[in-house]
Amino acid sequence: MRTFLSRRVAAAWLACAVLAAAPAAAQSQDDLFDDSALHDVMLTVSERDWNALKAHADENTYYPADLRWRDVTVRNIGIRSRGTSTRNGVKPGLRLDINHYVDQTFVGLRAVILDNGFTDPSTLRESLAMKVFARAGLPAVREAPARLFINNEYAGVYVIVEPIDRTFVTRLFGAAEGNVESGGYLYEYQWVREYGFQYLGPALAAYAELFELKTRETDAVSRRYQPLESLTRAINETPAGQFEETVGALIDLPELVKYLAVQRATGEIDGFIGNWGMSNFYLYRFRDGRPAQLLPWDADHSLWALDDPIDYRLDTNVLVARAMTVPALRRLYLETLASTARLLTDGAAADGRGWLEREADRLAALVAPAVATDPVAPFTFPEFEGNVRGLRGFLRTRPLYVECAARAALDRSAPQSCPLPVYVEIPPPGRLPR
Amino acid sequence: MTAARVLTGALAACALLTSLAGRAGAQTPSGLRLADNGRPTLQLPFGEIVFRGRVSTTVQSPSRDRGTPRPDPGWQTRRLQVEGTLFKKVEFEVSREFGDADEPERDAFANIRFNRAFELRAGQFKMPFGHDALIGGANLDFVYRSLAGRQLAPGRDMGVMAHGRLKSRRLAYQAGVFRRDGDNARTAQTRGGRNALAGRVLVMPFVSSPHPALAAVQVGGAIVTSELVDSLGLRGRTVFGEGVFFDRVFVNGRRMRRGVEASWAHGPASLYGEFMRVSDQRLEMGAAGDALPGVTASGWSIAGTWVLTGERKDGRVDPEHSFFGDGYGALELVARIEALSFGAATTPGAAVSPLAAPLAANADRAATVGLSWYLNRYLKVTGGAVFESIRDPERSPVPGNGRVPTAVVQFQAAL
Repeated sequence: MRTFLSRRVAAAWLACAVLAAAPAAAQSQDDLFDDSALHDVMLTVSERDWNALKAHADENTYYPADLRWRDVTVRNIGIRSRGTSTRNGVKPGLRLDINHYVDQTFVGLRAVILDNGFTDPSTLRESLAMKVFARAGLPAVREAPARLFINNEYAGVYVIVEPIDRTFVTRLFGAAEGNVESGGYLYEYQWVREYGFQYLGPALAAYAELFELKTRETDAVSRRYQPLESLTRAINETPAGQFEETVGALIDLPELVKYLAVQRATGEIDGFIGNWGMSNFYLYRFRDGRPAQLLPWDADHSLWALDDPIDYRLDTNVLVARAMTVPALRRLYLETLASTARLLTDGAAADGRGWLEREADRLAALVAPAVATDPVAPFTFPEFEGNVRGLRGFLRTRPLYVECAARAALDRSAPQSCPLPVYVEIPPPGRLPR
Repeated sequence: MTAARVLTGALAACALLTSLAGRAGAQTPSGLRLADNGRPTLQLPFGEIVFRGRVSTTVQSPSRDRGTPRPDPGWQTRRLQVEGTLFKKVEFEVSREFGDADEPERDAFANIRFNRAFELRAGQFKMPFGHDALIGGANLDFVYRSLAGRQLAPGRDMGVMAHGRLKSRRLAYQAGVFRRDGDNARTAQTRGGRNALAGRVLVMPFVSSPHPALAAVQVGGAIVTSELVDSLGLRGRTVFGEGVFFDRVFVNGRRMRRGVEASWAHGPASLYGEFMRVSDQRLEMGAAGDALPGVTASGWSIAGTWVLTGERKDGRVDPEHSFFGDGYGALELVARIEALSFGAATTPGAAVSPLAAPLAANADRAATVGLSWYLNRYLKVTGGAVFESIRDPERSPVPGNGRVPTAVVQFQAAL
């Protein structure tokens, strides 16, 4: 009996010795942000917690949930309501913090945003705007449309958005920048009041109120916020002749004006030079002291302002206004406006649809059935259809104006009359599926 | 990966073969032989080289609450170790952990023994701090080291250390300098402290007592100090490491570790405990370049073991009646209570300032009971239950009440 047992034990040990964990079918971030498909994101959360999250949507309270996407399941993540103007208890925007309770990642991500598109009847603007940033060679988060299921019940159309965090910084700028201890400083701009980089004085608390640090949050106060005070003072107090050199050493001015041009070309009303002051961006200070860079965020109010002139509100922001007095930067701004306008209409087909319009049509057809059945959609399906038609009209008309106006400003010999576009709806090539 | 699997299989097979072979080769006078302690030993004219190894796998109860959907059957520990003595005076040890892809190097040191009172060790080895942290992996009574032993004690680093025993073993000392302050506070993302000084003193006050039970009492204290240069401090992780109940914060200045310990082992029973505290300064980190309050962490543990089958407790239990021979091995009952806590690091009243970083205090308490079955001197199965509780449930792997119960089984083969 003992010999028999011994052999069994021996066999068990040997069997264990050769056991190796079989690699799971690998899903990647590229798969998650592949917008050629409509993703299904499944959240399992207690009914009590889900109701509490919706009832207290204005709070950042976390609730535990399980996340499933394709064959990937991540248990015990933290979810909370998110957003500013889009916060609501009917169709809450969600932040999924994968490692809130447990030290884990989801396809290498520490968090995922589910954008509720609450102010965009088309649900497409956020994704389309980020495509333009990416195609213009600027940093941009990746996005993909999704249906959200709460406890296996359909809970609406969302957009999966890559968060701007240490993982994003690592992807964009390399592992050294994403290092917890020695990486760069990532700030999320917090809209508190209308503000345009006016100097706020030497007290660092004023800057801390507006720029919430997302990396190195516990570093020395001076290392966290003194550079922002210095930047703001330089923006406001540097003599005109030294502006480009002095301020350009602190913030990447060419990248800034390209960023502005993309937002202006795409009719963004709530961006860096938005209608309510600066909004929806991150500022990244590199670890090695390179000039800081802006990172665009939350662009669901882009492709909106059809008839804003190309110089609209540039004078409301000290940094932008002073940058525009530098001839080289002004020229770069105008050239980027023109190139972005061309980019939007790039490869226009025989039917007149440019690149972004074709993308809009593709995504609209993809999400339409999900929009039609969205139980908490903030807009009706006819409103969705109408907004898509308006979006197509925008994409057909604004780029023409932007390019014309930019050319006129660049070259005084070019035609100087560029009429502002007027609203027009253009139906999609085919009927949107329901 | 392939090499690691081969090593795993080889070690497990070797452990089994030596189990089955008994001490058939123990009488070989020279060359490769099995020594009395059961380890393959290469006898040389000028010394000996001993080959050791250990593989272990741990399976813990799946828990939807803790993000562990299924047990992990992989071998977590795959340790190979070579140690030896040359010319009677020089000892060396080199070990490598194949289960750790990031930092596989473990010990790599040489030790010169001038006399019993003065020995000199140089290389990479465990810094002299903490009772539990200094127990060899094969001799651990529990599946996991104590929370404080893993997270507050420094661990290994490169350095030079003098050590020895004085007054007929009544007093032992260790004192060394190290390049950094140990690998327990270091990750791929964090450098930890540097230029560490460490010292430890152990006293056996009753060593000459006629009562063996009293003579076994040992008490001691240790201190480690190191420099922190704008680096991330210590992090509080739960017993199984899946949760972070206190995240790292930037610290600057000096790190001071202080610890006291006591242990006793007699016959089949043992009892030991320790307390340690780590203080990290945050100099020049305030808004005006002033110092912020330091971050302090403290931990304690008390553990007891009892070999039910009566064998003497001396590290790893050696069963009198092997399961592969004439008996059923040895059974040992183990129990431990412990806590690890981190203090708040904010300035009173400053929490409302946007400059203040959120650093609320938190603590983890755990109680562990378990049973170890030593099939023979090489093979051991340890089963246990860990009852863990996080003070702030929001920073627990189990939100809600913060309590984390887990069952765990470990299979270990060690040469």
